[in-house]
Amino acid sequence: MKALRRILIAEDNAADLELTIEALRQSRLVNPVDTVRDGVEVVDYLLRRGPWADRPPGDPVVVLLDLKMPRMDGIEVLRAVKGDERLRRIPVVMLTSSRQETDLVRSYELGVNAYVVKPVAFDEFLSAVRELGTFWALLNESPPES
Amino acid sequence: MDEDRTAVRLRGFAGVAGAVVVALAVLALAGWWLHSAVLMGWGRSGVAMNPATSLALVLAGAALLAVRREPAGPRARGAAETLAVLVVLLGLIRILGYSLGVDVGPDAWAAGARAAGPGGMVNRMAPNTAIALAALGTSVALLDGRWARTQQAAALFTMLVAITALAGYAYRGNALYGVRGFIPMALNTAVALLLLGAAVLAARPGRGVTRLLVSPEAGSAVARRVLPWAIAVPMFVGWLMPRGLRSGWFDISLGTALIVTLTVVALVSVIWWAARVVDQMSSERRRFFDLSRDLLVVAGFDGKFLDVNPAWERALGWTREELTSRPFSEFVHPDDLTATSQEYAAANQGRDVTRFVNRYRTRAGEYRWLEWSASVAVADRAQYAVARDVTELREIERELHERVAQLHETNQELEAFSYSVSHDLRAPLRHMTGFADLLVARCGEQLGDEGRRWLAIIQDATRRMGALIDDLLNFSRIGRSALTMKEVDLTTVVSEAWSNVRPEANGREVRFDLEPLPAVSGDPALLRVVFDNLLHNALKYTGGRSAAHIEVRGCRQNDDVVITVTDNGVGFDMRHAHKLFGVFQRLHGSDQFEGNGIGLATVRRVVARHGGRVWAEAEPDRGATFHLALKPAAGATSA
Repeated sequence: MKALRRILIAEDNAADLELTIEALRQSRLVNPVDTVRDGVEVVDYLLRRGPWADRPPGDPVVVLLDLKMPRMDGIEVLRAVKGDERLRRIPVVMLTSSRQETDLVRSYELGVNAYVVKPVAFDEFLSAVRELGTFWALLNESPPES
Repeated sequence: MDEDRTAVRLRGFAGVAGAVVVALAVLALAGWWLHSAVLMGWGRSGVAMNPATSLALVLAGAALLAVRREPAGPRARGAAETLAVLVVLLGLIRILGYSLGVDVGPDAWAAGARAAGPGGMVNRMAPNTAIALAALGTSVALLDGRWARTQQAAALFTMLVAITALAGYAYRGNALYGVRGFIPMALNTAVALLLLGAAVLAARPGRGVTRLLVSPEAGSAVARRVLPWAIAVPMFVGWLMPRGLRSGWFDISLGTALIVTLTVVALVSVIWWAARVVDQMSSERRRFFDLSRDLLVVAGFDGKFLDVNPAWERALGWTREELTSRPFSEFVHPDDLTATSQEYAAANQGRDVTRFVNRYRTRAGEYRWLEWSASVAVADRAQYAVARDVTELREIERELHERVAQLHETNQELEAFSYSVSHDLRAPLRHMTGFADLLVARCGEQLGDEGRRWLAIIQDATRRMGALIDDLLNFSRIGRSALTMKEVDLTTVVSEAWSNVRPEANGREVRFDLEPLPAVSGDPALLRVVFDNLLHNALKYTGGRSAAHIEVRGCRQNDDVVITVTDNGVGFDMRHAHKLFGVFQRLHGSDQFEGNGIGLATVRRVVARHGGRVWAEAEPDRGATFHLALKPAAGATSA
């Protein structure tokens, strides 16, 4: 059997990261989860370079991207990924606190695959992440590996 | 004098004159068949209008009628030109006949059967008639053409020939109206030619001599007054002289003296009168020139001012002599000199100046900003210019720009602030709820009852804070977002708002009455927010009523549409009404009624942005009524 494809979470805030992982855990997804803490790392991970040079090959099933991150923010990452011939097919989902219209518009202009605002109430947050995970990891047919 | 109205009258005269001449000529033709000397030549002097002349006059009159409107259509012009050329031909053939000494063409065939005419009336087109017809035809043919001078001269010549003939009739000297013993011009022909000549000139009031007569300028005003006298006085003298001699009223020397005196008095009076008219008109202009607060100037093409009005001295301190004796470049700010000379040079080529701005030095050494408009008369080598001192205006404009920039900056800061509120405040809140939930789920057993109650309070507080942040963000967005105004069907908006709010009743029995509301002009999405809030409040504050009742009505009141939302809830004390619409202002404790005091502030903000008003009436425990005054939809008429 082929190995389950991984989920990549890019989130600089430890508390948010923990809650997201907890939510994914509660949704009973068995896909392995990798986490990175800023935008530069996202690109390193996807291109398998720097600290991520030795990771197992294969694109993640989905990248959950925070907007506000140090070094390289979500929008910049999105631009880099969608502008790269090797990476642009990887599904990217914005998972953010911002409902700001400019963020929404810019994300969609850059070709984001989905945009989800993190609900403040935890039960809503749980169900949001659960549905996200289920959709991308189980329901959605991933692009063929290049 | 109103030039346009005069022009309309003149064109009207041209049409009427054309029609009258056509009628005259047709009557004359009819006279030949009916043997009526009256119709043919008005029974005077035994001269009748020749049939060929009649034909030519009918053609000329018809041509003029065809093109009496200005501008005439291409088909009308074509027809008129053809007819006019025929008139010219008729005249020319007759002239040719006289010079060759034979009867040819029209005379021969037009009335050949009755060549002798009844009552011994002579039947031949007179030579002067032929010449006048040729000139008249030429003038009609060239009416809208390029040869304006020729056209005008031809019309004037026609009139001159006709007047000569008429004068002949008046003074009873046949030699005058018949040329060299040839057949004279018939009286009706002379009248018709005079009318048509005048009509041709009147048909185009914007051209040549006619324009000079009707324009509002001083010269035209004088010409209009003097011209009738210039014609009338010599004619009267000419009439008086032979008559007086014949009747023995005076002998030749006394008569000459009398007539010279009479002419001198008449001409001097007319000139004196004309001078007064011109003086009055020029002093009228001079008054405005002196009175103007704008700086008026006549500038030559040599870089100097020819004349300035007193406003210059008041504005800049320089006297008229100083300003007109030196090149104006000496007064212009050095930095503006290049632009000024360019603009001036372009104006000298005939280009009008609008809104050109430069700085002029005052006697005190300061600079004032002047904004220029100028019209140029290249032929007179003069520029007529108006300058306005816009120094204060520019200062105000500059301040305004600064304020706008500041405002823009503040707005951007606000934007950044609301962004950070939306992002940065939510995150810790989410952590609080998230971990509190996890704590209850995983470690609830260990916490004990009191611990769990405290946690519940934390959870509730974070939930309310989340709602508060959302409301605040909405509130600030409503203040900033652009309005998209359109005609709004309020009845639909209110019923949609009610469907949205209604579930909050939680099965409680609530009577909701909605009357059809007038259409208003507004942003549908924002008006929806207004009614969401008002109905939400109404529902909330009727919470304790067994028979809750909410009612929405609307009517036209003067220029407004006034919408009223009434409930039978707990109401409030009017003493606190002024606090009602403030942000975070609440008249009820949140233990009693939940809420954060943003709803009515949002309502007021939306209504204010629509240019409307909102106010409320209430009594404790007897319900509340909210009134909104909005602008009616553009199409709606006042009831």
